[in-house]
Amino acid sequence: MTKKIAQLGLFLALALILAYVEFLIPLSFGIPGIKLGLPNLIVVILLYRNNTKEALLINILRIVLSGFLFSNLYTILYALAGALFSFIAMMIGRRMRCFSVIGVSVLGGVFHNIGQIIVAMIVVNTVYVGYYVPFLIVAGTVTGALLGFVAMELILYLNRDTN
Amino acid sequence: MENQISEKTKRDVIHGIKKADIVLIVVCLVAAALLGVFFVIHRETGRQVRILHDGIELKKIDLYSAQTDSEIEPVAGYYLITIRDDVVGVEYFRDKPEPKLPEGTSYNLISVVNGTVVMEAADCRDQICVHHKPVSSKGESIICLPHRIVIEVDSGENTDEPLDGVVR
Repeated sequence: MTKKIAQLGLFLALALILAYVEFLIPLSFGIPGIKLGLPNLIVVILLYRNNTKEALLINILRIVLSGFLFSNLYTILYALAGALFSFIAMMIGRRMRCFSVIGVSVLGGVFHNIGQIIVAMIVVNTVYVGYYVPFLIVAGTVTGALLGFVAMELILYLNRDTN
Repeated sequence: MENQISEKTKRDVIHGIKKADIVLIVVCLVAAALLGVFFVIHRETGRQVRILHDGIELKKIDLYSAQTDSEIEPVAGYYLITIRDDVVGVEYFRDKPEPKLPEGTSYNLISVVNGTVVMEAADCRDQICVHHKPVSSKGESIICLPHRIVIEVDSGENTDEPLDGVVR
């Protein structure tokens, strides 16, 4: 139990560092909402290494904490919506077993963006943001696939016999 | 050891990329491309730009003619949107103004030139709206989420009027 707490704490810290790295290098492509989603790496790893419950716990904690550290309450709600959408998609993808880590990560990336677009539509009260959807799908697919490759390697690497 | 993943999980991971992954990636890219083509085909040049705060229209600016709500105003120019405790104002400038604002007031500055709208500057936290590409087609918009400001290009047709009838 103690070991588990320490381990999850470590993963949470890692997710926060990745959020900070992403905060330091803002990539702008002229389209709002496109980012690498580095912290999602940790969520994918936990989804495989540990279980759904723990992955969800770390996911929510890292959003709330990085939200308070780097932005504000308003952004937290916005990020939470995208993250939950993405988490549900990844959870289902993981259960389906036909996808590898890469497929699960792509699902996460794409649905994160779709979730945020839906929230943006509600927040600013306009349906015109739909114009971004094609760009966001492509961005989610590319970043998701890249992070999926990294996550796959990391899961196997972390599984080495360390004793 | 709880440090180790189960054999079942390991088999899942070590398998590498699967056929379903490639299918998923291709489906996503094709769907995006189709949607993109659909939007490009249905692209129309915008006639009007609307400034909204919290979904409420603050101002309508014609992109090509010189009229704004019966007032005569030139097409090219700058519009400074100021927000103070949910009190929002829009001010016109011929030349790019240096926004000098009292404490607690935030702003977005847009320019309208040749039918194209650009977010010139803003003091919002994320600066996403400032990095946004210029907009000119119907349906395009620049959104500043921190300030809840939407700059929206539309066709200029009055969408409030076409009521066939009212049943009482």
